[in-house]
Amino acid sequence: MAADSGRYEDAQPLLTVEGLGIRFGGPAETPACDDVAFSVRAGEILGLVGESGSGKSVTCRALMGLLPDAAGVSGRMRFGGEELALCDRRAVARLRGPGLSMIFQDPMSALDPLMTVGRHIALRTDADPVGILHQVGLTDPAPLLDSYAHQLSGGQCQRIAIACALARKPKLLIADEPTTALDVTVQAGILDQIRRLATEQGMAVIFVTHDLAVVHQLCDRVLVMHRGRVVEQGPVDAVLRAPQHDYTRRLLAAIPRPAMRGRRLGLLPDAAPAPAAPASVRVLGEAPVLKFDDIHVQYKRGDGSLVDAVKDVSLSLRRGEILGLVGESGSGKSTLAKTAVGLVTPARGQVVLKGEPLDWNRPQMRWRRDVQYIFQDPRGALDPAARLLNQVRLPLDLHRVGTRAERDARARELLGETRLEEHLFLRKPGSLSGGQRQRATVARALALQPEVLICDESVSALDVSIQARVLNLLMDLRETHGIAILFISHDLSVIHHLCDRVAVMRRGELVEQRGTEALFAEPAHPYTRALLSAIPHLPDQTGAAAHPKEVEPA
Amino acid sequence: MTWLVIRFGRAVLTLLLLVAFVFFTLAANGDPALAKFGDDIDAQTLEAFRTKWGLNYPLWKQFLIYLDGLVHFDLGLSFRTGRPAWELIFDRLPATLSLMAPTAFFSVAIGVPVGIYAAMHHGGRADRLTILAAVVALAIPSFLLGLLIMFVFSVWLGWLDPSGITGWTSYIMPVATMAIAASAIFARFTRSAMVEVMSHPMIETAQASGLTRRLIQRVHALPNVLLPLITIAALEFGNLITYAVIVESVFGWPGVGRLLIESVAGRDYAVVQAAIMMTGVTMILANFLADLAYGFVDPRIADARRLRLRRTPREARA
Repeated sequence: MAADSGRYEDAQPLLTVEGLGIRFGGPAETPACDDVAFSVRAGEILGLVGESGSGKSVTCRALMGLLPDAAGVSGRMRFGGEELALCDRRAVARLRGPGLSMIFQDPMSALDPLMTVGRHIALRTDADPVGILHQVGLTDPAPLLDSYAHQLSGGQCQRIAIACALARKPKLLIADEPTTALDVTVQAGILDQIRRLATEQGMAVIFVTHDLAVVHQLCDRVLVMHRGRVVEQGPVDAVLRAPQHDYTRRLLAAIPRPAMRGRRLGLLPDAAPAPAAPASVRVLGEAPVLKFDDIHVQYKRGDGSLVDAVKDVSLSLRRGEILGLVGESGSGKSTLAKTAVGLVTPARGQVVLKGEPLDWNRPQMRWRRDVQYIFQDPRGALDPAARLLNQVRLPLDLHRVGTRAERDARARELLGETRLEEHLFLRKPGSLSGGQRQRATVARALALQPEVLICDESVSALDVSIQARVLNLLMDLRETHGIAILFISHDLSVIHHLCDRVAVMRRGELVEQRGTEALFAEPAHPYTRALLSAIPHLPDQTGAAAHPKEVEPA
Repeated sequence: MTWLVIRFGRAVLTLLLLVAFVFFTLAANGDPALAKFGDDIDAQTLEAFRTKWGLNYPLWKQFLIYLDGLVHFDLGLSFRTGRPAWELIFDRLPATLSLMAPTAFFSVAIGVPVGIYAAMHHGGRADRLTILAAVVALAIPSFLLGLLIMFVFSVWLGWLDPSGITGWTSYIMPVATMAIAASAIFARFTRSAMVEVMSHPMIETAQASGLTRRLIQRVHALPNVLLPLITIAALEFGNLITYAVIVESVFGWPGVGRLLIESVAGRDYAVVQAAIMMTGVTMILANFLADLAYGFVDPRIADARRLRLRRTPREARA
């Protein structure tokens, strides 16, 4: 796309931001943003990346005048020849609509649940709504006009949110993680749409994301933020291939990519990336430790009718093996996994643990010991009122393992194994970061030395640096304890990095199941191919990789 | 229409339980004959009274007789006056309704805008002042508030007549007493609903695409606030009846509330039953109307109900 954006290179920047600073609280507090400066040209897509708390979202909100009154904003912006002080929220707010517009992460809650799609558009413009919906890639928009948000898919909602943002023909669109909540194929379609709007209409875009691969696929230039400051900016290829700043290098080292498959990822707080001890990708046992035998699960819908969530799926997991389970939301991945811990009862079929069929009507304590489940949201999985140490010791208490002192020592050992610092052991979850919380849930899951660990999107909500820590930990566990791991994720890069074998599910059916290398090299099923082609890729840091900007819309 | 049938069945069951509860509670409460004639009455008169009113039958039979009357729209006769119970109620009903209607109007007309105003200044002085006023208004029992108002305007200032209906000015004090408490409830609920809606991502999305604050409040915030308000309105209707009982006693108002209190004191079962029945029916009706209103306001609820209707027999079996 370098050629396309070249058209605008001589032009004056559409937006220039200088000395942007944002403070919540007094001058003693660390600023959320400090001395941020950048510019965007018409038709250009600027990627804004950084981990949570890096200040990327507050930067965007400051440009839109959407920060709460309590926030202290300083700095100036020049937009299309008009010079404004960013602290003047009324002046900034006047630009909203025909000047700047913004879309957000959660597409479902972007729309008013009580209002039809057509009225959403009509509130913003007198133009023909069908034309506007066409413009955002909705092929048959007429019937959509009378529908409500709850009748639409996440992808449709996000396209309509974009249509609302575009209705007044803004010169700059700010997109704050607009595809993070969407499936990978849907994401590909939305990214393609944004790229098309920028090239065809000369609209400038600021695209906020934590995903560097998305930046590589979509953006012309990138701005890397860390702790409220811009640490590096420049053309995407230059920054991602040859990062100058240390933080960018470490950020890139933490991302799973094909070249790093099966190896430990570099960790952000460490100076040296990737200790690069090659992991033995060896399956230790032949007999399956956990077997799903023709599992069929039905759900009752609100109106009493039944839906097949999982359709006769058989899957087995050997000792020391990491099996990836992928598929889009609603494909039945979690439902299948939950039958192994008795959270879901299959209508037919059985789960066999070490040769013993599980009957959850007569549950045995040892089953609960052998199979542990780690959920996506560590905040919801931990008791907010109890100290970490007590929570990790709880399974040992329940199963009456050893004396009180022994249990305490064991819990400390477990927390240490997950690289949690000693002074955090007696904290409550509220004062910990997401990554620290997730490591505590891993420690708790390991307390009873399970044979099988089920990780249900366990790293999806984490920043890449923390994700890297948890992934490294899982690899360690498999090697040191020979634990079998069922790893559920929608992130195919992570799956490729971690798993020995991959099973692909779609609409409750198992469509493909093979060794990771083979599956990623030559996907057999068309659905797997569609999934794989939709993943955004990072460039190799040395050689020149293909730059797949154009993607088939989903 | 399945949904309507289910709703109706549930309403009838609720009503039946209410009738049974009131009937047996009253029966456990003492002898109406003794209440009418006093303790020093000869056994013969008592016996005659009991036979006349069917009080000699076992309790279950009395209940069945009462139910039989009920399905023929016969609510029984008043022990004290001998007139049909429903007649007594309907005589008093206009007085009560003429209190409730303006109260309902003022509590919504004052409470909702005040709540919205407070929410728009969320955390500010206007907001804190409103909450304080609402808490104070709710904390004062309505009989005390009524007496206070009466003391100021009748005794002290001498502007208004303390009791009875002598003209439109008679309505001022009882309606004010009821509306102060009711509008405080509306203000509080409107405020919290509005604060919640205004923090919803759709508001930020609307702002970001250039809609004005005023427009957003009108088209997004208000309809979404209406939803919880419907629930509160239905509940509040029941509260109004309770207020009416108290306020009518304080201001000597010839309404159903006072009739109820007199009848309970005189163990006039049929009248008490009828009054409670009437309250029950109105409550059920109010809730039913609220449910119906949800369907109109919220397309998600409308869809869920439609889905239930569209279910084919095959799907239902599966």
